Amino acid sequence: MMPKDKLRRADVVTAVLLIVLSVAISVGAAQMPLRGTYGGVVNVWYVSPASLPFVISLALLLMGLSLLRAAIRDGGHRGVVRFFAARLLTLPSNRPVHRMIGVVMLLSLYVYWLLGRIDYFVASSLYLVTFMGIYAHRQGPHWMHWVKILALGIGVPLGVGYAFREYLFVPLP
Amino acid sequence: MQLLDFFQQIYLVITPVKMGVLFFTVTLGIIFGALPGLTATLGVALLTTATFNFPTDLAIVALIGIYVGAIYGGSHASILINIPGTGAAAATLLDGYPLNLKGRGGEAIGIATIASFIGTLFGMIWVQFFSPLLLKLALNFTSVEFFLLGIFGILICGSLTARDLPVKGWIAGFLGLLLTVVGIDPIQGYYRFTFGNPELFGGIEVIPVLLGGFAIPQVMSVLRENKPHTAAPARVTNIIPPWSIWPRHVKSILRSGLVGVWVGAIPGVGEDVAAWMSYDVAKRGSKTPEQFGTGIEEGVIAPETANNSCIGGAIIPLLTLGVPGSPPAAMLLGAIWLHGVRPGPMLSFEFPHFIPQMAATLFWASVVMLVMGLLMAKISVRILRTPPALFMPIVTFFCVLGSYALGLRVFNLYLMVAFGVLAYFLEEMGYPIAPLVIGMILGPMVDENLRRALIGSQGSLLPFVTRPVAVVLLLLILYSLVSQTPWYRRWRRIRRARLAEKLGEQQI
Repeated sequence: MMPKDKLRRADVVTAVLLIVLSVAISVGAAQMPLRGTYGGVVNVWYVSPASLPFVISLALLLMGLSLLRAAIRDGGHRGVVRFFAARLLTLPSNRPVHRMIGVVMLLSLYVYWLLGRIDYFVASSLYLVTFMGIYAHRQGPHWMHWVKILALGIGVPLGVGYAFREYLFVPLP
Repeated sequence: MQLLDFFQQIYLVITPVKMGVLFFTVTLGIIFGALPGLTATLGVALLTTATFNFPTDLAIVALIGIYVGAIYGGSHASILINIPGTGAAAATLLDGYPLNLKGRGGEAIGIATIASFIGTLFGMIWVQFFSPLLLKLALNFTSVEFFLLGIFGILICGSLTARDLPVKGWIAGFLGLLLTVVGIDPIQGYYRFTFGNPELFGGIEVIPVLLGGFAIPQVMSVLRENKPHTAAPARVTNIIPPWSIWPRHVKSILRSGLVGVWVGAIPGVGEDVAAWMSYDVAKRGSKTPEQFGTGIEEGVIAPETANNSCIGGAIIPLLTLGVPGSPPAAMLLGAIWLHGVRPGPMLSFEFPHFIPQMAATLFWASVVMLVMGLLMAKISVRILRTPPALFMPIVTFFCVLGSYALGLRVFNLYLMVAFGVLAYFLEEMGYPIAPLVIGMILGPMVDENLRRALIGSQGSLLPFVTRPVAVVLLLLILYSLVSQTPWYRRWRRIRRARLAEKLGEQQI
């Protein structure tokens, strides 16, 4: 979790987003049938599919306002823009964030691009070998490190995929 | 009759296949629990996929096995490397690691294993004997009570799991409720918030959200740090503790067991709160509280008994009301639904042997955990040396497999990744994920019962404030909201100070 002072600034932004979300939910719910008949059912407000969305919207609005109040009370409204601008400026030198972005990019490439385009086993092996190759620290000789990565990266999808498909009858992507 | 059924179910579990599966899944659970970054919830979720085509009783054996193993397994990492393997073992660290530093690491693992065994049995007794009573009470629940119970579950889970402001826990819970509203409305068939996308007509499934919410933030957090491996664990020698310590701590064991069961019964709260609460209660009730944290047996016994008895506690509302008592129990509920079993008041009519079956499975899981836990004490040292960068990518591979296999939809994979990234940022900002998952699990119950209740009363809100159980639930909801306000907290502080002053005056 972020330190408290930075957290409150983020809370100001999320509170505003929540309030906007609650308004959007209300607008969406207002377009659902509230009277007349729908699907053969006579509509009154308590039968309407909009009833729970309205409850959620009201709850989120109240909670968003409460969060905004708490954030402003702790000084979160001061320097919000400066805070986010500073975070963006330090991004190029922030190694932990780069590592995190790398994880998301690798997973996204695997899920959104590789799967469905090439064979599942090949895609999964490529993904695992690349992921481990980038992130795993080398312990011992270079060749041993890569043998371990290739063994896991190729062996796990093959072994697990085969066991899941043939013995557990679980379909694969 | 119940007792006979229970013993019958204990006998029925003793088949080569079931015991083989139980040994395998308990061992897998211990490994899951021991490795920091992997959780019991994730283990149960991933195994739900693998056991999808199993017969129901075999699937339950597998899932309970990994659940029990994983909750216990976290103690290995806490004791050996001063890092909790799971949240449930965080309190064990306070005295477990100091015991290790004194050269009693093996003994500490032995103590944790036996305490966990006792705790699981304690929870099992409550499941077997208390669940039928709660089922009888639940038969009197109408839509009004189920709606209020769902709201109470979300709010109390939010209050107790929020690390920052309680309102963040509630926001997470209602966001989970919002996710369940997407899709075709169950009463009128209206398409809610689908934006014309056919993939959303069937709604958003729980398992991809759960896998994304619990696994991906962990993977991102662990790999964000550039550590080659977690830590170098110490050697483990003697693992059997002296038997004389157990009679000295009978009171602590019983108290911790009760704390665990009661905390487990609170929706969505779970084993980590149970462990901390038990540790705190043990410390306050001790004649030598200053010794806690220096490496004493009670400091390991209290949290480990509580976190495992919490498993039984969490299963009680799951079976009787369809409300899970912890995040792993929420995943267990999803798995049970997939196998066609509907927990709730009708369980004793539709599946009369399910509760004794669950209790019997817990019994055998605790026995296997005792055996494997002691055997694996020395192997844990090797497991804990595994670099996170090798097993975390494999975890994501399993999450992709799990998210696809249950719905056969690639869209679930897209949801899992997107939601996982969102969950990471939510957690960084202090929003707990457990209430969100509880909101998703309880959402259909809240939605349908709200409208059924109002249809029954023709729009009148009177039943919500006149039915006795509804009034109790309403008061609990109000209390869970009011107790988190600054005014209430200030009033409690003043009241405590006045009490302390009075006590001080009386002593003088």
